[in-house]
Amino acid sequence: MATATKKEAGPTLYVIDSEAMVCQEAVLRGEVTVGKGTVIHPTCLLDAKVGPIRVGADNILEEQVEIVNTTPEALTIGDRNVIEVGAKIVGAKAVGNSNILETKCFVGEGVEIHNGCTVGVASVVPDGVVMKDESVIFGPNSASAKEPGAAQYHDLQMTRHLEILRETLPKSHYLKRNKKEEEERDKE
Amino acid sequence: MLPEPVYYSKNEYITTQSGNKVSRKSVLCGSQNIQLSGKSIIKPGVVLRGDLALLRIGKCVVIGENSVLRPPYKRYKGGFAYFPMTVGDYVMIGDNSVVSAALIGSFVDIGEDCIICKRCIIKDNAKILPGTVLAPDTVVPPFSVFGGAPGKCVGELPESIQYHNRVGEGEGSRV
Repeated sequence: MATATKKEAGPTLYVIDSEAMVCQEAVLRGEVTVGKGTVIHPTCLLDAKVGPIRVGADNILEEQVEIVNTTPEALTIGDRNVIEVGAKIVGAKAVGNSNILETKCFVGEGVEIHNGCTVGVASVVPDGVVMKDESVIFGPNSASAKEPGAAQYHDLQMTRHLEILRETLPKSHYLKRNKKEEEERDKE
Repeated sequence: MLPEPVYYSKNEYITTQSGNKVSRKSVLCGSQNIQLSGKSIIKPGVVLRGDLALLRIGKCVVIGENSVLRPPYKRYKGGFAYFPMTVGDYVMIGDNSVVSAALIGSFVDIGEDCIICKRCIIKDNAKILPGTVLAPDTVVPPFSVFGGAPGKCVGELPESIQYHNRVGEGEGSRV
């Protein structure tokens, strides 16, 4: 019982859906909601510094991803996004559905990403930019382009990836659970 | 020209029987799928993803701080699979790099802040300059120097580079 009260005193306000997979090595700070079917790899950091972070369903968040909310408003991340190794989202407004944020990209403050967008490897989305549906930002100079039909294409590729991760991850990782479920398990 | 020796404190690293030095602050996932041949150094903050596929690492490999080694995956018509990743002997990987190559040969030097995208093949004795971004499926030929984003061939190395990269072996610990 002593451990349970200690947990309540700490900043563990996160809510994880029972079908989501969050590895134990991932760090969730503050008010973080993780939706159904989302997979969060180890060493991923979700820091709701000021306002809450809401992660939707069926996302993949890989290692060393940093999502920090620096505004009092909620930072929402939609469904079926892939956020690859080392990507940083600091103070963005919202991320829509079916986006791919590639390795080590940086999404600045006040950025709004709609649906089906791609942010290329190591590219920077400057502060305050609104990425419309199915746009692409790539390269060191943040060049932009359009990719029609990207949202559908991204979705198609996601499903199998998620299935494989859901199979392989529980074999070698402990998963983070909600406080309530943990307590229930302790009772058993 | 030998690099300056770097000293480490023994209680921050775990030394295995074959002489691997693994930092206690590194994250090894699926350790039954990670093969280290010996005398390798894994620095703090490194993430090795053995849980996704087999990760084979040769001897005398140095992996810099906060680097990530994850096996590559490929999506093809109606399928999706992770592939095993192989790293040869005497490979140096700099700090903050992300490597998901299919194959890295021996005597390869990868600089800091590099991103080696999915399924790249880096042959023996190649050098990747710091800050390089190698596009997916790039093949780096032997004795070549790659740099820039996206990575391109910017030069060649002499044949003697192999002996130069091997020099540290006798020292035991080349951090």
